[in-house]
Amino acid sequence: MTSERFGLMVIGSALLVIVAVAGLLLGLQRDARREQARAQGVSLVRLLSRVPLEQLLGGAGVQGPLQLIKHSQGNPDFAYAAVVDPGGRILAEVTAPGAIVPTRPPAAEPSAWIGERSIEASDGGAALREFHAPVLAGSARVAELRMGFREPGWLVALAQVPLLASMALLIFLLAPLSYFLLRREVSPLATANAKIQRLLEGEHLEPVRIEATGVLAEFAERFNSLVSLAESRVRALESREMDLLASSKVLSYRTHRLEAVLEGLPDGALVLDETGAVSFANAKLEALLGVAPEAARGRPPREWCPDPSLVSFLAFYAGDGPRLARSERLELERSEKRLQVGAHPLVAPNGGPEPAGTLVLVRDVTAERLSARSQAEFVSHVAHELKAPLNVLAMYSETLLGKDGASEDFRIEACNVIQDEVERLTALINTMLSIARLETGAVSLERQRVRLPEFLQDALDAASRGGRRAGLRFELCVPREIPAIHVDKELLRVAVNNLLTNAIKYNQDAGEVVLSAEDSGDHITIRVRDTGIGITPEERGRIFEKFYRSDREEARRRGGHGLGLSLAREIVERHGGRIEVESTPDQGSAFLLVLPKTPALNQEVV
Amino acid sequence: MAHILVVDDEAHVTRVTRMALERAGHQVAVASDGAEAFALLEAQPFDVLITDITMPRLGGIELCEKARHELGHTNLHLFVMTSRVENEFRDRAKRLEPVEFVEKPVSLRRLVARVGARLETTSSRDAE
Repeated sequence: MTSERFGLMVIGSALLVIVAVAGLLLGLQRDARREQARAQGVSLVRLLSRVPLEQLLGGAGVQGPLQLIKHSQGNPDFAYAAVVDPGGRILAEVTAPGAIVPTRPPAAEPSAWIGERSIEASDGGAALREFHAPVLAGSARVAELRMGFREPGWLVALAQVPLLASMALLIFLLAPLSYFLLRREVSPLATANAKIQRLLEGEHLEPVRIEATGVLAEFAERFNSLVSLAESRVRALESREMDLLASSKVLSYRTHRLEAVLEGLPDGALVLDETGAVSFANAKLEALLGVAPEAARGRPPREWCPDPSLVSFLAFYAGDGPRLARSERLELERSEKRLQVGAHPLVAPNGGPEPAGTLVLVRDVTAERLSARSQAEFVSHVAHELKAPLNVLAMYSETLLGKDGASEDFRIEACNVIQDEVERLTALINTMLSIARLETGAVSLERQRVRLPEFLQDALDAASRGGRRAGLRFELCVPREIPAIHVDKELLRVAVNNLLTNAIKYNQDAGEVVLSAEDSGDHITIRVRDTGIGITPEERGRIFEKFYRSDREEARRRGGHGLGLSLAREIVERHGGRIEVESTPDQGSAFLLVLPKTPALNQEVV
Repeated sequence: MAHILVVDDEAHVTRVTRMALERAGHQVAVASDGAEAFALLEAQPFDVLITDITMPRLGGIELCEKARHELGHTNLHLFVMTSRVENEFRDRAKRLEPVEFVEKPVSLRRLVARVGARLETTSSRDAE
């Protein structure tokens, strides 16, 4: 469309130029004719006015100069020549066909004797230009010579039209011709333009087919090589982008895997970069240090760490100065927790000179320290418990060796005491061994089928020997049809024996001990009931604690090491059962071992 | 000869200790816990107190402290029989000078000798 309009404009402006040029040429032609006529007129008038009047007028039948002019002059513009007297009367005249001499008096003043004037056209005739000059006799004017010429009109100029027309036509033809030539040249460009437009709208870059010759063909070739260059660049970029994407995926997978590992650690974990700022912190840190991981990330410890000793400890692994390249540990107390902080420099496997960062692990060692302490306490308790019978043994044996040893009564007494204390030691050591066996957890239960009537009878017989001396009454109440259970016989014997020992120890004078068993559906319940001092509600929660001893006088008087019940509970729980207690102070207690009939394997702690 | 109070919740211990001390010529009273011993200390003066630490009602250390501070027995010689080496007991007892520690198992012969030696230094100091 644009090119069409452009073409029309070119044609229009060409026409305008043609008209302007034609007008200009015509004007010039006319001016030239006019100038020519004027020069002729002026020179002729001057020349003829010098001729004496008589000659000018000529005689009858004699050809005067005016006639000669008329004939000799082929000038088509010539209108007339006349000699008039000063009064304006025509003395002689020569006219072109159709022309008349206009009448008018000659000018009076000598200054206006020579001159020219225009005469308006009248009655369809042409406008005239008249030249006049005086005919002198001496210095007096005897007549006036007037010559009129038609003003050259457009028609005169049009006489030249054939030439101008051919020129204009040529120019006129040249414009559209050049326009169409141009169009023909440009049309492949327009096609190419449309194709390029489609190329831009499309997704793929491909060479554009342009049918052209010459410069345009060259252009098309260059353009296409540009397109293929661009296409190869785009391909290269795309494949690089794919590579980058792939490698970034691999990288992010690796990072994620690393972070998952650090997040999954049972300890609080921090990674410090070379500058000492936190590049990673896991969620467990919050529970240990009270710092949210987000609050720590990207910041050095002094900006978030609440513990000054930890800040100064970590400062050794950061900064510009010589950094520690070895692992160090620090223990600190934090809100009733014992924390162990380990800092481990991260040295690349290929062994750079400087660590690339530091892995900081924060571990809650409260339980470990507590267990170490309770272990120490346990050992001290055990030592004390072992030393008590040893003390008695040492004292009696020493006394036996002395002078008192000579007494028969004392020797018998001493032998009894020594036997009791040895039994006490043995029981204590057995208890210790059972505890050790259970607590290490390495030994699994050696289950076997146990028939309760016989098993409990044996247990009661063994325990009651000492008790009968104090006048206690023993009763066994086990139904014969009670199902057998699968338990670790030796461990269960220890548990039942401990309960029976307590029932005897804490009983009143002439009290009773009842050992019974019953089938309660899924469970077998073994019950040891006594008529002893009982257990207060305050004690009830603590009696199963290791080494717990009642502060009540009636309990303390009876001695003991505070291990029996804790061991019984441990044993029954290892069997997947539980221990229960029912008691009324001063009336007696009952301890129940509730054991599942079928051993649930998954409940056993191996 | 001196008045000696032996306190232990193990009757066997007090029995043989008493025998050994009496054979050495001392006058011996026994108690089975701190409270019983405190009652005896209130009733009559003693030169020496031999006590266990862990006992019902009133422990050995508490007994010693009460004897020193409540009864004003500043010259009473204290012998603390202990199988416990924990510093808390030692530190508390050390402030109660004169005090000696007797490690379990106790050798009666040595205990008698130490009691005798202690009494001797005191009496010689008194003589000066």
